[in-house]
Amino acid sequence: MPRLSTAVETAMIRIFAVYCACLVALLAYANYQGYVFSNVFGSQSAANKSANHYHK
Amino acid sequence: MAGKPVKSFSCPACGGIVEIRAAGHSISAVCTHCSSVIDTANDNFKIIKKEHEASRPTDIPIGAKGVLDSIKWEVIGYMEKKDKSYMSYWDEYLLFNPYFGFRFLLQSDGHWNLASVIKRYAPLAGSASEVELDREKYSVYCRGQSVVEYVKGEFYWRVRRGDEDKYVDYIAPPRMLTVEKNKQEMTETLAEYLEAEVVAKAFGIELPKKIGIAPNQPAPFYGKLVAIWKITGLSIFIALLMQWSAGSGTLLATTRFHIEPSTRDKTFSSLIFNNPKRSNLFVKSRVPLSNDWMELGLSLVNEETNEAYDALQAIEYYSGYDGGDYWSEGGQVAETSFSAIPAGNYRLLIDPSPGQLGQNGLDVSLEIKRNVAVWSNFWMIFLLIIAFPVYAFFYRWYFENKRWENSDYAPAIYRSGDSDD
Repeated sequence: MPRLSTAVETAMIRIFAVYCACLVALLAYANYQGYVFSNVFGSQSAANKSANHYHK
Repeated sequence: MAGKPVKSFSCPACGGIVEIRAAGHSISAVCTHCSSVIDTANDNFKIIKKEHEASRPTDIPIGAKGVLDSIKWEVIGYMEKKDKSYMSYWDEYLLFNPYFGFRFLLQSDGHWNLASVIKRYAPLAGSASEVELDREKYSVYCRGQSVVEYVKGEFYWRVRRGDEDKYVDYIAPPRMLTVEKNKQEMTETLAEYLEAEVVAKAFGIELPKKIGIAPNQPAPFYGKLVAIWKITGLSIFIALLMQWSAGSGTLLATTRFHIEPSTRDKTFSSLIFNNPKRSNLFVKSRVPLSNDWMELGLSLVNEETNEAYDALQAIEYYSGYDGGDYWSEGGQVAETSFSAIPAGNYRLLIDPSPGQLGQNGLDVSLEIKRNVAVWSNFWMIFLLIIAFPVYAFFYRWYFENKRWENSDYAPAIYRSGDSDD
Protein backbone atom coordinates (compact mmCIF):
# COMPACT_ATOMS: atom_id res chain seq x y z
CA MET A 1 0.00 0.00 0.00
CA PRO A 2 1.53 3.34 -0.99
CA ARG A 3 2.24 5.91 1.71
CA LEU A 4 -0.10 8.44 0.14
CA SER A 5 -3.52 7.47 -1.12
CA THR A 6 -3.78 9.10 -4.53
CA ALA A 7 -6.15 6.61 -6.14
CA VAL A 8 -9.10 9.02 -6.17
CA GLU A 9 -7.03 11.83 -7.64
CA THR A 10 -5.51 9.52 -10.26
CA ALA A 11 -9.03 8.44 -11.23
CA MET A 12 -10.12 12.10 -11.38
CA ILE A 13 -7.28 12.91 -13.76
CA ARG A 14 -8.15 9.97 -16.01
CA ILE A 15 -11.78 11.08 -16.03
CA PHE A 16 -10.61 14.62 -16.82
CA ALA A 17 -8.54 13.36 -19.77
CA VAL A 18 -11.56 11.48 -21.15
CA TYR A 19 -13.78 14.52 -20.50
CA CYS A 20 -11.39 16.78 -22.43
CA ALA A 21 -11.24 14.30 -25.33
CA CYS A 22 -15.06 14.26 -25.43
CA LEU A 23 -15.24 18.07 -25.43
CA VAL A 24 -12.71 18.34 -28.26
CA ALA A 25 -14.65 15.70 -30.22
CA LEU A 26 -17.86 17.64 -29.54
CA LEU A 27 -16.27 20.83 -30.90
CA ALA A 28 -15.10 18.96 -34.01
CA TYR A 29 -18.60 17.55 -34.54
CA ALA A 30 -20.25 20.93 -33.95
CA ASN A 31 -17.92 22.64 -36.41
CA TYR A 32 -18.50 19.93 -39.01
CA GLN A 33 -22.29 19.95 -38.66
CA GLY A 34 -22.56 23.70 -38.20
CA TYR A 35 -24.00 23.74 -34.71
CA VAL A 36 -23.88 27.02 -32.82
CA PHE A 37 -23.92 26.12 -29.10
CA SER A 38 -25.28 29.48 -28.00
CA ASN A 39 -28.32 28.89 -30.23
CA VAL A 40 -28.72 25.27 -29.11
CA PHE A 41 -28.71 26.37 -25.46
CA GLY A 42 -31.32 29.05 -26.05
CA SER A 43 -29.58 32.38 -26.41
CA GLN A 44 -31.82 35.34 -27.30
CA SER A 45 -30.37 35.59 -30.77
CA ALA A 46 -31.06 31.94 -31.39
CA ALA A 47 -32.94 30.95 -34.45
CA ASN A 48 -36.11 29.08 -33.68
CA LYS A 49 -37.28 26.33 -35.96
CA SER A 50 -40.90 26.35 -37.00
CA ALA A 51 -42.64 24.26 -39.60
CA ASN A 52 -44.53 25.89 -42.48
CA HIS A 53 -44.49 29.29 -40.85
CA TYR A 54 -44.36 31.12 -44.13
CA HIS A 55 -45.98 30.01 -47.38
CA LYS A 56 -44.57 30.51 -50.80
CA MET B 1 12.04 -10.35 13.98
CA ALA B 2 11.89 -14.11 14.10
CA GLY B 3 14.63 -15.67 16.21
CA LYS B 4 15.14 -12.51 18.28
CA PRO B 5 14.25 -13.50 21.85
CA VAL B 6 12.58 -11.01 24.16
CA LYS B 7 14.69 -10.41 27.24
CA SER B 8 12.88 -9.86 30.52
CA PHE B 9 13.82 -8.85 34.06
CA SER B 10 12.13 -7.76 37.28
CA CYS B 11 11.57 -4.08 37.81
CA PRO B 12 13.78 -2.98 40.72
CA ALA B 13 11.06 -0.55 41.83
CA CYS B 14 7.89 -2.66 41.80
CA GLY B 15 9.03 -6.19 40.92
CA GLY B 16 6.88 -6.36 37.79
CA ILE B 17 8.23 -8.09 34.69
CA VAL B 18 9.83 -5.71 32.20
CA GLU B 19 10.46 -6.94 28.67
CA ILE B 20 13.28 -5.76 26.43
CA ARG B 21 12.56 -6.22 22.73
CA ALA B 22 15.64 -4.55 21.32
CA ALA B 23 18.17 -6.10 23.67
CA GLY B 24 21.64 -4.74 23.01
CA HIS B 25 20.21 -1.55 21.49
CA SER B 26 17.99 -0.20 24.25
CA ILE B 27 19.66 1.65 27.09
CA SER B 28 16.52 2.65 28.97
CA ALA B 29 13.16 1.02 29.53
CA VAL B 30 9.97 2.03 31.27
CA CYS B 31 8.24 -0.45 33.54
CA THR B 32 4.75 -1.11 32.24
CA HIS B 33 3.52 -1.60 35.83
CA CYS B 34 4.85 1.43 37.69
CA SER B 35 6.26 3.60 34.85
CA SER B 36 9.68 3.83 36.52
CA VAL B 37 12.53 4.42 34.07
CA ILE B 38 15.22 1.71 34.29
CA ASP B 39 18.75 1.76 32.93
CA THR B 40 19.09 -1.26 30.60
CA ALA B 41 22.57 -0.49 29.28
CA ASN B 42 23.86 -3.34 31.47
CA ASP B 43 22.39 -6.07 33.67
CA ASN B 44 22.40 -3.94 36.86
CA PHE B 45 19.01 -2.45 35.90
CA LYS B 46 19.36 0.68 38.01
CA ILE B 47 16.37 2.97 38.37
CA ILE B 48 16.85 6.24 36.49
CA LYS B 49 13.58 7.73 37.67
CA LYS B 50 11.07 6.21 40.03
CA GLU B 51 7.37 6.61 39.22
CA HIS B 52 4.11 5.26 40.59
CA GLU B 53 1.73 5.34 37.67
CA ALA B 54 -0.06 2.52 35.92
CA SER B 55 0.61 2.14 32.23
CA ARG B 56 -1.70 4.10 29.91
CA PRO B 57 -3.23 2.49 26.83
CA THR B 58 -1.95 3.77 23.49
CA ASP B 59 -3.42 3.65 19.98
CA ILE B 60 -0.73 1.17 18.99
CA PRO B 61 0.28 -1.12 21.85
CA ILE B 62 3.91 -1.80 22.74
CA GLY B 63 4.92 -5.04 21.04
CA ALA B 64 2.57 -4.54 18.07
CA LYS B 65 4.11 -5.48 14.75
CA GLY B 66 3.33 -4.00 11.37
CA VAL B 67 4.76 -3.73 7.87
CA LEU B 68 5.58 -0.26 6.58
CA ASP B 69 7.58 0.28 3.39
CA SER B 70 7.87 -3.53 3.07
CA ILE B 71 9.76 -3.73 6.39
CA LYS B 72 8.35 -5.42 9.46
CA TRP B 73 8.58 -3.11 12.46
CA GLU B 74 7.87 -3.72 16.12
CA VAL B 75 6.67 -0.96 18.41
CA ILE B 76 9.08 -0.89 21.34
CA GLY B 77 8.60 2.56 22.83
CA TYR B 78 6.08 5.32 23.16
CA MET B 79 6.32 8.96 24.19
CA GLU B 80 3.70 11.61 24.51
CA LYS B 81 5.13 15.05 23.91
CA LYS B 82 3.73 18.49 24.41
CA ASP B 83 4.65 21.86 23.01
CA LYS B 84 5.09 24.18 25.97
CA SER B 85 3.86 27.29 24.17
CA TYR B 86 1.06 25.98 21.99
CA MET B 87 -0.04 23.27 24.45
CA SER B 88 -0.42 20.85 21.55
CA TYR B 89 0.23 17.14 22.09
CA TRP B 90 1.59 14.46 19.83
CA ASP B 91 2.63 10.81 20.05
CA GLU B 92 5.96 9.32 19.11
CA TYR B 93 6.20 5.55 18.71
CA LEU B 94 9.65 4.03 18.48
CA LEU B 95 9.79 1.22 15.91
CA PHE B 96 12.55 -1.35 15.75
CA ASN B 97 13.78 -3.88 13.24
CA PRO B 98 17.05 -5.71 13.97
CA TYR B 99 18.26 -5.23 10.37
CA PHE B 100 17.01 -1.72 9.68
CA GLY B 101 17.35 -0.15 13.12
CA PHE B 102 14.93 2.43 14.48
CA ARG B 103 12.19 4.58 13.05
CA PHE B 104 9.66 6.91 14.62
CA LEU B 105 5.97 6.76 13.93
CA LEU B 106 4.51 10.16 14.80
CA GLN B 107 0.87 10.97 15.36
CA SER B 108 -0.70 14.36 15.80
CA ASP B 109 -4.44 15.12 15.41
CA GLY B 110 -4.91 11.82 13.59
CA HIS B 111 -2.13 12.60 11.06
CA TRP B 112 0.80 10.20 10.82
CA ASN B 113 4.44 10.42 9.81
CA LEU B 114 7.19 7.87 9.49
CA ALA B 115 10.47 9.43 10.52
CA SER B 116 14.10 8.55 10.89
CA VAL B 117 17.07 10.34 12.38
CA ILE B 118 19.41 11.53 9.62
CA LYS B 119 23.13 12.01 9.75
CA ARG B 120 23.49 14.42 6.80
CA TYR B 121 22.75 17.73 8.46
CA ALA B 122 21.07 20.44 6.44
CA PRO B 123 23.21 23.59 6.54
CA LEU B 124 21.89 26.26 8.94
CA ALA B 125 19.06 23.99 10.04
CA GLY B 126 17.56 25.35 13.22
CA SER B 127 18.42 28.99 12.60
CA ALA B 128 17.55 29.69 8.95
CA SER B 129 14.01 30.19 7.76
CA GLU B 130 14.67 28.02 4.75
CA VAL B 131 17.07 25.08 4.44
CA GLU B 132 18.02 22.71 1.66
CA LEU B 133 18.28 18.97 2.03
CA ASP B 134 18.75 16.51 -0.82
CA ARG B 135 18.17 19.38 -3.30
CA GLU B 136 14.80 20.10 -1.76
CA LYS B 137 13.95 23.39 -0.07
CA TYR B 138 12.30 23.23 3.34
CA SER B 139 10.47 26.21 4.81
CA VAL B 140 10.26 26.83 8.52
CA TYR B 141 6.79 26.06 9.86
CA CYS B 142 7.14 26.11 13.60
CA ARG B 143 9.63 26.75 16.40
CA GLY B 144 8.94 25.60 19.89
CA GLN B 145 9.99 23.75 22.99
CA SER B 146 8.82 20.19 23.53
CA VAL B 147 8.55 18.36 26.78
CA VAL B 148 8.11 14.63 27.33
CA GLU B 149 4.78 14.18 29.10
CA TYR B 150 4.59 10.43 29.24
CA VAL B 151 6.87 7.59 28.29
CA LYS B 152 6.59 3.83 28.08
CA GLY B 153 8.51 0.93 26.54
CA GLU B 154 12.20 1.03 25.76
CA PHE B 155 14.52 3.47 24.03
CA TYR B 156 18.03 3.64 22.65
CA TRP B 157 18.65 6.78 24.67
CA ARG B 158 17.91 7.75 28.25
CA VAL B 159 14.48 9.25 28.26
CA ARG B 160 12.28 10.38 31.07
CA ARG B 161 9.32 12.55 31.75
CA GLY B 162 10.06 16.24 31.74
CA ASP B 163 12.90 16.00 29.20
CA GLU B 164 12.87 19.18 27.16
CA ASP B 165 14.09 19.98 23.66
CA LYS B 166 13.99 23.08 21.52
CA TYR B 167 12.76 22.17 18.08
CA VAL B 168 12.23 23.68 14.64
CA ASP B 169 9.97 22.08 12.04
CA TYR B 170 10.72 22.67 8.37
CA ILE B 171 8.32 21.44 5.73
CA ALA B 172 8.46 20.42 2.09
CA PRO B 173 5.26 18.36 1.87
CA PRO B 174 5.03 15.43 2.15
CA ARG B 175 8.32 15.67 4.09
CA MET B 176 9.15 17.44 7.31
CA LEU B 177 12.59 18.07 8.74
CA THR B 178 12.69 18.50 12.50
CA VAL B 179 15.75 19.88 14.24
CA GLU B 180 15.85 19.17 17.98
CA LYS B 181 18.40 20.66 20.33
CA ASN B 182 19.10 20.16 23.98
CA LYS B 183 22.14 20.74 26.19
CA GLN B 184 23.80 17.52 25.03
CA GLU B 185 23.08 17.17 21.35
CA MET B 186 21.32 18.23 18.19
CA THR B 187 19.39 15.75 16.09
CA GLU B 188 17.70 16.08 12.74
CA THR B 189 14.75 13.87 11.91
CA LEU B 190 13.28 13.52 8.46
CA ALA B 191 9.61 12.55 8.43
CA GLU B 192 7.32 11.65 5.57
CA TYR B 193 3.56 11.89 5.73
CA LEU B 194 1.68 8.60 5.97
CA GLU B 195 -2.00 8.14 5.27
CA ALA B 196 -3.75 6.97 8.45
CA GLU B 197 -5.21 4.03 6.52
CA VAL B 198 -1.68 2.79 5.82
CA VAL B 199 -0.90 2.76 9.55
CA ALA B 200 -4.26 1.19 10.41
CA LYS B 201 -3.73 -1.55 7.86
CA ALA B 202 -0.11 -2.13 8.90
CA PHE B 203 -0.92 -2.61 12.57
CA GLY B 204 -4.48 -3.89 12.19
CA ILE B 205 -5.97 -1.21 14.44
CA GLU B 206 -8.58 1.51 14.39
CA LEU B 207 -7.16 5.00 14.51
CA PRO B 208 -8.52 8.38 15.58
CA LYS B 209 -10.07 10.63 12.93
CA LYS B 210 -7.95 13.29 11.32
CA ILE B 211 -8.43 16.85 12.52
CA GLY B 212 -7.43 19.78 10.33
CA ILE B 213 -4.47 19.80 8.01
CA ALA B 214 -1.05 18.55 9.03
CA PRO B 215 2.00 20.78 8.42
CA ASN B 216 3.43 18.42 5.81
CA GLN B 217 0.21 16.87 4.54
CA PRO B 218 0.42 16.68 0.75
CA ALA B 219 -1.84 19.21 -0.96
CA PRO B 220 -4.66 17.95 -3.18
CA PHE B 221 -3.41 16.72 -6.56
CA TYR B 222 0.08 16.47 -5.10
CA GLY B 223 2.43 15.60 -7.96
CA LYS B 224 -0.45 15.64 -10.43
CA LEU B 225 -0.85 19.31 -11.27
CA VAL B 226 1.62 19.00 -14.15
CA ALA B 227 -0.46 16.17 -15.63
CA ILE B 228 -3.62 18.27 -15.26
CA TRP B 229 -2.06 21.27 -17.01
CA LYS B 230 -0.59 19.05 -19.75
CA ILE B 231 -4.00 17.57 -20.49
CA THR B 232 -5.54 21.04 -20.40
CA GLY B 233 -2.91 22.56 -22.68
CA LEU B 234 -3.04 19.72 -25.17
CA SER B 235 -6.86 19.80 -25.31
CA ILE B 236 -6.97 23.55 -25.84
CA PHE B 237 -4.24 23.35 -28.47
CA ILE B 238 -6.16 20.68 -30.44
CA ALA B 239 -9.38 22.66 -30.07
CA LEU B 240 -7.59 25.78 -31.36
CA LEU B 241 -6.19 23.88 -34.36
CA MET B 242 -9.66 22.64 -35.18
CA GLN B 243 -11.08 26.12 -34.83
CA TRP B 244 -8.45 27.61 -37.11
CA SER B 245 -9.07 24.93 -39.71
CA ALA B 246 -12.83 25.49 -39.55
CA GLY B 247 -14.38 27.35 -42.47
CA SER B 248 -13.94 31.08 -42.80
CA GLY B 249 -17.39 31.53 -44.29
CA THR B 250 -18.72 31.33 -47.86
CA LEU B 251 -20.97 34.07 -49.15
CA LEU B 252 -24.28 32.60 -50.36
CA ALA B 253 -26.35 35.66 -51.06
CA THR B 254 -26.70 39.38 -50.52
CA THR B 255 -29.87 41.38 -50.53
CA ARG B 256 -30.71 45.01 -50.25
CA PHE B 257 -33.97 46.86 -49.85
CA HIS B 258 -35.24 50.30 -49.05
CA ILE B 259 -37.78 50.79 -46.31
CA GLU B 260 -39.84 53.94 -46.05
CA PRO B 261 -42.99 54.94 -44.16
CA SER B 262 -45.27 53.56 -46.88
CA THR B 263 -43.54 50.15 -46.83
CA ARG B 264 -42.86 49.80 -43.11
CA ASP B 265 -45.20 46.81 -42.80
CA LYS B 266 -43.96 45.03 -45.89
CA THR B 267 -42.10 41.71 -45.76
CA PHE B 268 -39.02 41.58 -47.98
CA SER B 269 -37.40 38.51 -49.46
CA SER B 270 -33.93 37.56 -50.61
CA LEU B 271 -33.24 35.62 -53.80
CA ILE B 272 -33.26 31.85 -53.49
CA PHE B 273 -29.84 30.51 -52.56
CA ASN B 274 -28.46 27.02 -52.11
CA ASN B 275 -26.86 25.65 -48.99
CA PRO B 276 -24.90 22.68 -50.41
CA LYS B 277 -24.26 20.88 -47.12
CA ARG B 278 -25.52 21.03 -43.54
CA SER B 279 -23.81 24.00 -41.90
CA ASN B 280 -24.43 27.11 -39.92
CA LEU B 281 -25.74 30.23 -41.67
CA PHE B 282 -24.94 33.75 -40.59
CA VAL B 283 -26.99 36.79 -41.57
CA LYS B 284 -25.21 40.10 -41.27
CA SER B 285 -27.41 43.20 -41.54
CA ARG B 286 -26.26 46.71 -42.07
CA VAL B 287 -28.64 49.66 -41.49
CA PRO B 288 -27.41 53.29 -41.45
CA LEU B 289 -29.39 54.18 -38.33
CA SER B 290 -28.91 57.43 -36.49
CA ASN B 291 -30.47 57.78 -33.04
CA ASP B 292 -32.94 55.14 -34.01
CA TRP B 293 -33.59 51.43 -33.77
CA MET B 294 -34.92 48.66 -35.95
CA GLU B 295 -35.92 45.05 -35.42
CA LEU B 296 -35.67 42.57 -38.26
CA GLY B 297 -37.76 39.43 -38.05
CA LEU B 298 -35.74 36.90 -40.05
CA SER B 299 -37.20 33.71 -41.39
CA LEU B 300 -35.10 31.26 -43.31
CA VAL B 301 -37.50 29.15 -45.37
CA ASN B 302 -36.62 25.89 -47.09
CA GLU B 303 -38.04 26.05 -50.61
CA GLU B 304 -38.71 22.31 -50.80
CA THR B 305 -40.12 21.56 -47.35
CA ASN B 306 -41.38 24.99 -46.27
CA GLU B 307 -39.62 24.46 -42.98
CA ALA B 308 -38.72 27.81 -41.48
CA TYR B 309 -36.05 28.91 -39.02
CA ASP B 310 -36.89 32.16 -37.27
CA ALA B 311 -34.77 34.73 -35.52
CA LEU B 312 -35.14 38.28 -34.35
CA GLN B 313 -32.39 40.75 -35.01
CA ALA B 314 -32.27 44.05 -33.17
CA ILE B 315 -30.16 46.99 -34.30
CA GLU B 316 -29.87 50.34 -32.59
CA TYR B 317 -27.50 53.21 -32.81
CA TYR B 318 -27.46 56.39 -30.74
CA SER B 319 -24.84 59.11 -30.63
CA GLY B 320 -24.51 62.67 -29.43
CA TYR B 321 -22.38 65.38 -27.93
CA ASP B 322 -22.53 65.94 -24.22
CA GLY B 323 -20.31 67.86 -21.82
CA GLY B 324 -17.63 68.40 -24.44
CA ASP B 325 -17.45 64.74 -25.45
CA TYR B 326 -18.90 62.76 -28.31
CA TRP B 327 -20.62 59.56 -27.32
CA SER B 328 -22.26 56.70 -29.11
CA GLU B 329 -23.83 53.39 -28.21
CA GLY B 330 -25.03 50.41 -30.19
CA GLY B 331 -24.07 49.90 -33.83
CA GLN B 332 -25.33 49.90 -37.36
CA VAL B 333 -24.44 46.26 -37.98
CA ALA B 334 -25.90 43.11 -36.43
CA GLU B 335 -25.22 39.44 -37.00
CA THR B 336 -27.48 36.47 -36.35
CA SER B 337 -26.60 32.81 -36.61
CA PHE B 338 -28.72 29.86 -37.67
CA SER B 339 -27.46 26.56 -36.27
CA ALA B 340 -26.99 23.39 -38.35
CA ILE B 341 -29.17 24.27 -41.33
CA PRO B 342 -29.70 21.22 -43.56
CA ALA B 343 -28.68 21.27 -47.23
CA GLY B 344 -31.25 22.72 -49.60
CA ASN B 345 -32.55 25.80 -51.37
CA TYR B 346 -33.56 28.64 -49.07
CA ARG B 347 -35.05 32.07 -49.14
CA LEU B 348 -34.64 34.63 -46.38
CA LEU B 349 -37.78 36.57 -45.48
CA ILE B 350 -37.22 39.85 -43.65
CA ASP B 351 -39.99 41.46 -41.68
CA PRO B 352 -38.69 44.86 -40.49
CA SER B 353 -40.07 46.79 -37.54
CA PRO B 354 -38.48 50.22 -37.76
CA GLY B 355 -38.38 52.78 -34.99
CA GLN B 356 -38.97 56.42 -35.94
CA LEU B 357 -37.99 55.97 -39.62
CA GLY B 358 -37.70 59.40 -41.24
CA GLN B 359 -39.38 60.48 -44.46
CA ASN B 360 -36.37 59.41 -46.54
CA GLY B 361 -36.48 55.86 -45.21
CA LEU B 362 -33.47 53.58 -44.78
CA ASP B 363 -31.42 51.24 -46.91
CA VAL B 364 -31.10 47.80 -45.38
CA SER B 365 -28.44 45.43 -46.74
CA LEU B 366 -27.94 41.82 -45.71
CA GLU B 367 -25.22 39.21 -46.31
CA ILE B 368 -25.87 35.50 -45.89
CA LYS B 369 -22.83 33.30 -45.27
CA ARG B 370 -22.47 29.60 -44.53
CA ASN B 371 -19.83 27.55 -42.72
CA VAL B 372 -18.55 30.40 -40.56
CA ALA B 373 -16.05 29.54 -37.81
CA VAL B 374 -17.99 29.96 -34.57
CA TRP B 375 -15.63 31.21 -31.90
CA SER B 376 -18.34 31.17 -29.25
CA ASN B 377 -18.29 27.36 -29.63
CA PHE B 378 -14.56 27.34 -28.96
CA TRP B 379 -14.86 29.63 -25.94
CA MET B 380 -17.62 27.47 -24.47
CA ILE B 381 -15.44 24.35 -24.83
CA PHE B 382 -12.47 26.32 -23.48
CA LEU B 383 -14.42 27.26 -20.34
CA LEU B 384 -15.58 23.68 -19.82
CA ILE B 385 -11.99 22.43 -20.15
CA ILE B 386 -10.43 25.09 -17.95
CA ALA B 387 -13.02 24.66 -15.16
CA PHE B 388 -11.32 21.63 -13.61
CA PRO B 389 -7.75 23.01 -13.54
CA VAL B 390 -9.09 26.27 -12.12
CA TYR B 391 -10.95 24.30 -9.45
CA ALA B 392 -7.79 22.28 -8.69
CA PHE B 393 -5.76 25.49 -8.46
CA PHE B 394 -8.12 27.24 -6.07
CA TYR B 395 -8.73 24.13 -3.97
CA ARG B 396 -4.99 23.78 -3.60
CA TRP B 397 -4.63 27.44 -2.68
CA TYR B 398 -7.38 27.07 -0.09
CA PHE B 399 -5.66 23.98 1.28
CA GLU B 400 -2.28 25.73 1.54
CA ASN B 401 -3.96 28.69 3.18
CA LYS B 402 -5.45 26.37 5.80
CA ARG B 403 -2.11 24.64 6.29
CA TRP B 404 -0.33 27.90 7.04
CA GLU B 405 -3.09 29.22 9.29
CA ASN B 406 -1.46 27.29 12.14
CA SER B 407 2.01 28.67 11.52
CA ASP B 408 3.70 31.87 12.61
CA TYR B 409 5.93 31.66 9.54
CA ALA B 410 3.37 31.63 6.73
CA PRO B 411 4.65 32.87 3.36
CA ALA B 412 3.32 36.33 2.47
CA ILE B 413 0.88 34.91 -0.10
CA TYR B 414 -0.99 33.06 2.66
CA ARG B 415 -0.92 35.91 5.16
CA SER B 416 -3.59 38.11 3.59
CA GLY B 417 -6.08 37.51 6.40
CA ASP B 418 -3.67 38.39 9.21
CA SER B 419 -4.10 41.51 11.25
CA ASP B 420 -1.34 44.08 11.03
CA ASP B 421 -0.58 44.32 14.73
